[in-house]
Amino acid sequence: MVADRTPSPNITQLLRAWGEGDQSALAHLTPLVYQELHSLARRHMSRENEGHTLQATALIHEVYLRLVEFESMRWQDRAHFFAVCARLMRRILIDFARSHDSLKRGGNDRKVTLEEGLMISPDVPAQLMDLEQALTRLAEEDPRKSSVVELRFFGGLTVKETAEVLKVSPDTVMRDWSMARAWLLREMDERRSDAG
Amino acid sequence: MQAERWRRLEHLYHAAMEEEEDQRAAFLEKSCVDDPSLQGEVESLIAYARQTGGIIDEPLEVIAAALDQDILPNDSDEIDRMIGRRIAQYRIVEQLGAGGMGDVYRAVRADDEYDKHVALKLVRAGRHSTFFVSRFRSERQILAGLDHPNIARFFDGGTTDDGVPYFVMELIEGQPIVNYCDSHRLSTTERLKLSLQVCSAVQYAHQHLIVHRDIKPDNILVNAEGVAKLMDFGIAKILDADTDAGQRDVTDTRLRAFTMGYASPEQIKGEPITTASDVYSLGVVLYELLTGHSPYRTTKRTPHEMARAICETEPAKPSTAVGRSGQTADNNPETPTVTPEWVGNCRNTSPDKLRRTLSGDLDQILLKALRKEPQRRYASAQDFAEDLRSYTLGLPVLARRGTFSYRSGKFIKRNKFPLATAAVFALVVLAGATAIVREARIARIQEARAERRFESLRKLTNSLLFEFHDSIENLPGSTAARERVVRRALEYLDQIAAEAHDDPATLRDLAAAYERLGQIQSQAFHPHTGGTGSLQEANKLFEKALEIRRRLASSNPEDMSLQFDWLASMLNVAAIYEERGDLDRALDLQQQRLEIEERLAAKHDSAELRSAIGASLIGIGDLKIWIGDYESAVDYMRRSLALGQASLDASPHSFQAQRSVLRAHSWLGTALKFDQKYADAASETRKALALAEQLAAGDPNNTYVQRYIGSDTEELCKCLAYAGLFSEVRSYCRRAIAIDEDMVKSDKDNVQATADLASTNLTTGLALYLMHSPREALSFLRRADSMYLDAASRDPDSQSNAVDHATSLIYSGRVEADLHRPELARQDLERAREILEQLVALSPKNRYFLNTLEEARAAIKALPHDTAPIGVH
Repeated sequence: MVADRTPSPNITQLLRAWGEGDQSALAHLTPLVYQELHSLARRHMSRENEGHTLQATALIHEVYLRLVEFESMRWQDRAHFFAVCARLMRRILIDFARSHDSLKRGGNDRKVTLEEGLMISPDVPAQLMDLEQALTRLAEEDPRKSSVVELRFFGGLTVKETAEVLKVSPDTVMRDWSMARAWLLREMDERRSDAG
Repeated sequence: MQAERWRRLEHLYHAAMEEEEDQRAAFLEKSCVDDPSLQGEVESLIAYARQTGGIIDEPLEVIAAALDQDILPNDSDEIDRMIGRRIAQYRIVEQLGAGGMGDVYRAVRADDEYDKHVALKLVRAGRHSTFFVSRFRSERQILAGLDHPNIARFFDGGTTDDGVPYFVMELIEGQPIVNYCDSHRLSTTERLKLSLQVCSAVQYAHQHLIVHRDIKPDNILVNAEGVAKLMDFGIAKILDADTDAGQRDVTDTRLRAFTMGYASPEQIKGEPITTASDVYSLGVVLYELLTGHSPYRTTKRTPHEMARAICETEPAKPSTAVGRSGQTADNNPETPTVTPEWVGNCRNTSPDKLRRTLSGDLDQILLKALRKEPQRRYASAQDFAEDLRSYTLGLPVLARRGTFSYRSGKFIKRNKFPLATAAVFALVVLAGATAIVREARIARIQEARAERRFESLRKLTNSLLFEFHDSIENLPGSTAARERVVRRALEYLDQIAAEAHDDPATLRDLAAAYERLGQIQSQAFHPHTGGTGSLQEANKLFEKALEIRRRLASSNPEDMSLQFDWLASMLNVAAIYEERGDLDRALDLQQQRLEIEERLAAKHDSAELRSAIGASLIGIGDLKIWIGDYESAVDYMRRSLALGQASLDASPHSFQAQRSVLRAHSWLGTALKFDQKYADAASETRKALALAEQLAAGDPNNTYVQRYIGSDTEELCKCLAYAGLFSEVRSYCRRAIAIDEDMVKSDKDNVQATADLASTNLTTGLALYLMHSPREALSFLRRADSMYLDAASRDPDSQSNAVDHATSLIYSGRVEADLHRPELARQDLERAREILEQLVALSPKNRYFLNTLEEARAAIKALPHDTAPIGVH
């Protein structure tokens, strides 16, 4: 059904209101979009899903596809929407990681081979949560840098798009990313050795 | 103080990163005398910055996939339980794969003495929800209704004892079509024939109102007999309105299980899916079959990037794609790296032959199947197949007939079709084109996308106003039609302008559209071709664009691309002032531009900006030459050289810096020549030439450098002759002519190459004249004359060719006079005067034109008084 394919009118209306300067719309908006995506995630996780489709992956596809749909929104809305989606993606993935991390702790340490032929160490959930903690601390030091990471890493935005959302130059985004990345890697490392 | 320290840390981090590695420690030590702990911190950050690995460098979907792999339950127990089980009269032998809705098993008819093997598809245990079952049934129903040699046949269906639906179909043992073609090294023609089978299957399904929606190589198996079979109707959709609503819900699900790499733009965007979507996916498969590459030039992309590529990026022509290396279309690390040789080898041919095979009709056919807009693709799989068949039979193809230029060009030429109709047609096309911009505004789509849409507008306007304009320009009375086309476009644009408010994306589109229209105005209605006042119109349009660019740039001072747009727009206006002969205003604007560039450079210094400043200095110097202020021209050129030299000293291997220096030496030579410092001019030009030759040695195919070699050799020959340094003149002139002759030979249609060759002949004639070899000089000058005539007939608007032509006539006239042939002399000189008077009328302040005209008049005056024009005698 057509109605099923477009974002629900409430979200659209709220986004429009937000784009037109109604700041209170944001407060209503975030939980709504989050809920939308989360119900989607639940559907994916309830095994009513194809065997070959990876679940977190499917979720991300879905969010990206939504982004594409939202490209027909006003540009300003879209920039905000990018930001919201990046934040949601972060929350959803961390939720994911948290729930599975507890299950997998102490599990085997085999390497997981992915379709792309890449090898990733199996403690992805743990790493993701370390990153989350480090990112929260980075936000205290330098909120813009943490936004850059959120948009680029969790939102999958390009440098140029990130620059548009944050209203800074692409150069600034690159510099912020460089330093934030180094800082986060160090922070994660130090935490890990503290814990170990 | 925490924030203070962070700012300092940040500053030091970036500064240290910019230092050379071996200087870093010293730099930090110096900068952190007061706070050694800060030094340690910067150093540790830099150490981490250089580390790779960890999740932060992975694309998000890789991380998601890792999360999923970690949590997916193992289904192997369930599969084990199924093996050997009997379902109706079938016994399950082994699992073949996991399909969309369930698992596929190899089974045998337990009661069949011939051991007939079949494929049995079963909803997977634990997926018995209404949702899955109804979708499964939908596939079964679709398949049961289809009977075609290239579609896996349906045999039987039912429900197991425990209520699980299943169906039985033809077992196809074969390879996915791409692998089959590659492993059998099938030629392009054989691949096309195989594709025709697939088209036929898709067309059959479409006739039965079924859209497959997931056509991809893995769903097209080729068996040992070489028969292609389309499989997996798991997400197929029944178009028929008669089917009950429940089924339509099922296929319209948000799950969108299609495979992204083969999906159509409308699938990605969630727009209505039609048979055209299958045509698109067929196009992607065929593209990969023929070229070995995906149309999207990519392997590892985020889904977001992939979605964009599908919706926005025009695929490269297949004949271009086969020349690429390194991208595997199927993302499989086992596949050898795709190289032109490998692709050719798989098709039993050479890369070059393959490219030639694909170029032309096949390029057009595939691009037509892959159009972003469904309505611009082939109307059906059958039409697609028809074109492929026509191609294999050597008949004309629909894809080519469909392109605008082909149609309008041929049509108008052949039928002299009535002008009124032509104009209406043009207006319709143009209205469509401007609608794209309007849509872009209404939809407020992301700017990159708007640009691309604008690109389509640009292309359409281009074909309309150039191809169309060319077709009708010789028809009597077409000026009015052409004017109407432009006027209508302008109306649309002004309307958009009125509604644009401050939306930056729309404003950018608008400025670009005004610029485009300005270019059309200045070219399509050039005074030489009979129009009047068009440059003035163009001027207005360019000024409108400039005003928008200025507004955008000043309200977004941090956005460098807007600043560059503004600068480019200033250059446009300056160029049109120059063309209209308003050199003072051109100069004024160029100087403003330089100031802005310098101001920007003070804030955001970049190589690009430095190069732009270098170019502006030369542009101003060039204007100074035209105005006749040669000394000042020399100054500007020297400044440009100093700037280029500084860049080069800073980065000795930067091609851009080398180019800036080359450019500056060349232009400084020219300015010095005008300032009559011939020996200095010769020495600068020699430097330019040496540098150009050095660059060419490293990069022989660089046409930029090659053009400098050509023009600098010619300039050097001139400067040496003027300076009276005759000894090397002949050898440089010979070289200059040889270089230009090569250029003309390699590109016969290039008017500029002809004009360049004319110019070297002129220069040689001039040098020989100065060297007192009049007869020899005359032969070169005559050659120059006929080449300039040729160039003028092909490009009547070039002022620089015209003034050079006049110069060649002045010299041939002088030589004729020296040889005591005053009639011939007068003939040449009068022709020169006529050309120059036209030029001065166009550009009254151009000192160079004026001086040359003076020279022609003086030469005419110097002729013996008793010589009357030929014909009076």
